[in-house]
Order: sequence, then C-alpha cells, then structure tokens
Amino acid sequence: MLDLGIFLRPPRWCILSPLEANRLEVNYRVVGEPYENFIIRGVRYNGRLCSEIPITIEASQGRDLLSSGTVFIPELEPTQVWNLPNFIGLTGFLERIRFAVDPFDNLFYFGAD
Amino acid sequence: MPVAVTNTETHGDERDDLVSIYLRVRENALPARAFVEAAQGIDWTTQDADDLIAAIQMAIQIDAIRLARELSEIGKERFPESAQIQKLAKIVGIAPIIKSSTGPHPKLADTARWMNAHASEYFGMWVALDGDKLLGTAKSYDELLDKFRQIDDVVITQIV
Repeated sequence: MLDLGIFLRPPRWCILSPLEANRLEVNYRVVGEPYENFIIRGVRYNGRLCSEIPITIEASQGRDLLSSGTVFIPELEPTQVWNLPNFIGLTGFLERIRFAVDPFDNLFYFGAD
Repeated sequence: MPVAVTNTETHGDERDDLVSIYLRVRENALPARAFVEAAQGIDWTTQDADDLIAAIQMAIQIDAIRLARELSEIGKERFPESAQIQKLAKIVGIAPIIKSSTGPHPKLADTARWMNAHASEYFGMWVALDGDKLLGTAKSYDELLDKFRQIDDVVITQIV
C-alpha cells in the first residue's frame, strides 16, 4: 500500500501512524527509544523513536528511492485519537537527499545525489 | 525520561551541571545551545558508558541531533559492547540512500492529476485512491485503512 507523507513544514522526525506501526515486524514498544513532548500540529505526543524502519519514496517519473530511517511512533493516551497521515521528517531522511518542492503544481522532486 | 548520570569526584560537578542545564532547556528557560556548549566542554573520552548514554538521550530529547551524533560516535568507538549506545547511534545515524531500479509508478502520476483537479472538493477529508479512481472518502484514516488495505497500490491520504 502506498501512503503519502505530508510535506508541509516537515517535522524533525518522520512520523508513522501507530496503526501502521502495529504491522511492523518489530515491536516498536520494545526496540524504540522513548521520546517525549513531540508537538504535531499543536498537539503534544509522547512515543518512541525507532531506527531502521524501511522508507521508500515512490516516483511517478524516474526511480524510487529506498532507505531506512528513524521514525517517531506516537504512543497515544487513552483520550487521544490519531487522525493524521504519515509525515516525512528532516532528521535521518530528508537531510540525506536532494529535494525541491513545487507548491503550485503540488510536485515533489527528489534524488539521491 | 530517566537520566542516569553517575558521579565521580573528578567529573561529578560538570555532569550535574549538564543535567541541570538540560532540565532548564526542557522548561524553555534556556536555549538548547546552552546544553550543547556545556556538553562540548566535557571530555567525553574519559566518561563512562552510562554518562554517554544519558548525554545522548538528553541531546536527542532537546533535538540537539548533531551533538547526539558526535557523542554516539565516541560511544560506539569506546563502548562497542554497549547495546544501548549502538541503539542510540542507529537512531541518530545516517543510513545510506539506495537508488532503486523500480519506478516510475504510472498510477502515482494519475493520482497526482486527480489531486490537482479534485482535492479542493474534499478538504479535510481522507481519501482512498487507486490511480485517478476515487475508491472512497472518510473522516478518519482508520475507516479507509480497514476497507482498502488489501488493495495493492492504494493511496490513502488526507486532503490538507
């Protein structure tokens, strides 16, 4: 399944929906590092940072980029509901590639070097 | 976050200072730069593994990622047997990017065209798309995931 990461004001870390995180081969609650007070769209979340999560940017023209990166997976409080998409983050991912955004045509250009 | 910092006669004061600065950064009473400068003033080549782990954890928590990388490199070299240091180093590390031989995906271009033409009609909603075919809309991601997760290449996203 494809999933579009939202690219408005990219956050520090890539963010993976906790629903999808439950489908990972690893138990992120065991292998992840606690990370607190991550503010996403004005809401404060605690969760875990997990390394080596496979990430693919799929291309509509040209070639895909594959990598693995660190993602933040929110640990929801009983009163919290996750209704956000996945996000592409700067640290560990966008910082490693070349990219440009064309907001008028809603295009994201990317390359490895 | 638990902060495990051990005290020795030699280095106890500077580590206590570092924790104190960290706590003040967390309270927004000091900028993260203050923590970075204090950490850079410590000779980490003589600290024990627990101190390095605590410093890396604090650096990650205040988004001082460059510092966290520097400390984890020192830690990896000095304490290769420490699983916790290796784990932290991976978290702040830089994995290689691989250019794939796969792609392009024609359906993504179709999806982009649909988004440009119709996204404004669904502002705030979640949509599931197969190329330029709208499979469904919902108010939450879960609803669409439950319905369409079995379909290859489905794109589920929120219109913002």
